[in-house]
Amino acid sequence: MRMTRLLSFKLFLLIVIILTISSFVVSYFQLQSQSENNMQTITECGERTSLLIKASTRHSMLLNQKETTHNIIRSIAGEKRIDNIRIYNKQGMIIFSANDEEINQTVDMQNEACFMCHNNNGDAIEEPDTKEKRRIYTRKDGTRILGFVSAIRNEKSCYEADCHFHPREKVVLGTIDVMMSLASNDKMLMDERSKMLQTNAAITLLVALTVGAFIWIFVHGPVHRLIIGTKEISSGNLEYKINSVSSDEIGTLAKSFNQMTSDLTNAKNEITDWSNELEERVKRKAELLKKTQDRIIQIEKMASLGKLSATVAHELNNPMSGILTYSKLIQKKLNKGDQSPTEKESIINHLKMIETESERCGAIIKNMLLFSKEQKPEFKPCDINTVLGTSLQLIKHHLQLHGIDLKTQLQSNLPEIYVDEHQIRQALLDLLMNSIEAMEKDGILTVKSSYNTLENRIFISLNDNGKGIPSDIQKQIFEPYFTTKHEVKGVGLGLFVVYGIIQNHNGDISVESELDKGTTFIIKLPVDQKQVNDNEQK
Amino acid sequence: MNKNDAKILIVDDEVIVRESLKGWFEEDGYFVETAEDAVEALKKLNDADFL
Repeated sequence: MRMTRLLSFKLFLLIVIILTISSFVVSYFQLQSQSENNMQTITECGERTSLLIKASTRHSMLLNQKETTHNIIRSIAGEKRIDNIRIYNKQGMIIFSANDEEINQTVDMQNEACFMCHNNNGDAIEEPDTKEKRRIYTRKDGTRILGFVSAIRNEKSCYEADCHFHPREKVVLGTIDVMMSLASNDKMLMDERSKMLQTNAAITLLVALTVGAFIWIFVHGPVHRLIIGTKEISSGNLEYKINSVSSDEIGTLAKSFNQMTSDLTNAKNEITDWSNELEERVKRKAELLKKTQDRIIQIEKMASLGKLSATVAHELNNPMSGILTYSKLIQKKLNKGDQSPTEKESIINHLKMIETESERCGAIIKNMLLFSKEQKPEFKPCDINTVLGTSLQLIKHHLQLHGIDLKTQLQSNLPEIYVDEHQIRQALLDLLMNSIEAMEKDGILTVKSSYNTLENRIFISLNDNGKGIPSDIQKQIFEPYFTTKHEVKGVGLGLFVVYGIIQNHNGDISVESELDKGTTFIIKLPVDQKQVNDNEQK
Repeated sequence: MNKNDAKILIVDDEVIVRESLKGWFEEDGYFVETAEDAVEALKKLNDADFL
């Protein structure tokens, strides 16, 4: 964050500004007051000097001893702080001055010191009080001068003096103008001002540093730590604790914050525990479901086997009866006694036939056993045409028994797909058995396989020309316990199992059917599903 | 009826059944013919040998 945007900085700046302004305002008024006091003192000094001059020159004036008067004025004006002393007559002419060159010069009555008691026409007005009788001006050399003017009033000794110079009716005889230099006063004030400025600056700096340090340590630091804390929490680090030892409001805030994060951590842990627990439960349920599904598949397999049993029996019966006949024939031939070489060869041929047929029976039984055996789900790459072939092999006799014609259109060089061969065979067998049951005389079963490059899936279609499925129940056929076979034929799990198996393979199964025309089941299995099933295996 | 005069036609779709029975009856001295299905059987029945 930029320095100027920090709250601490704004607070600091405000305090410094207020401090600076207030200290300068106070200093200004202090200096002003001091200057005014000094002026008052100097004015009083001027007044006293005028009185002193009046008193000391009174005698020489009455004796009209001009030179003596002059000497007195000169010696008083010799005082360091007095710049000049003048005495004017009524017409504004300088009759005495410490500066000899000014004597007999007439001043402008409109200016100088006369305006205090004379109006614009030169007429006297009422005498003002002490303070207003002073005037301050700046001489050409830059020195400030305070002039104090006071009137010399006519009195009895004046108009009765031997010189008869002043007539009795005059009120004011002349004016004394004491001009005091303000140079030393001004210098002192200047010194005072600079000293005050320095002191102010020093105090301001000191206070600013102290306040700044205080704000930095007690406000900025803790607030900064709070900000870091909130950022840490929002980025997910719930372990973060704010280090704060102060017991002020920010300290309390930090403590509440730490309390909040620990509450948050507890809540989060609780939620995590719950979700782990839930996950575990879901996992257990899924495993249970999987086991149940495997059981159902196995049961359905046994049911299919049951349906096939008649066919199997018939299939086995033929070679068995052949074997029996050959065995009896050989016994008969051997009982006859010595055999000719031709007869021996014939017996060996019979035995060979027995061997071949026994092997055939063995193969049929082995096939049945393999099919009925409970298999662990195992995904392996396999050719779907091979799976179709073995499934059709199982029902070959069944088809013959029902007089159903089988047509196959299997696309060669299909890509291998990752499937559980046993599950797929079970699904196909279920669908094939359903088709056979749906057909009556002149049944035609058409089995097709193809590869759809666009969808990268293998399509298997099983079509029969049976009685078809009414459209209102087509959507229900894959649901569990749904059956149209009200006899003891089934429990309604067949198509549900098929649906489950195809779902296991991330495939789709759909049905198209028309009453009395036939039904087509279409299975679509993805080619590229190795990854999915590998994950499932884990 | 003389055994040599009797003629037997065995009809079965299974070769083992046909051949084993044929062997059995030939051993007994009968003249035996076999047929895989009805068409072949009828054909052979119409043959001069059986008449």
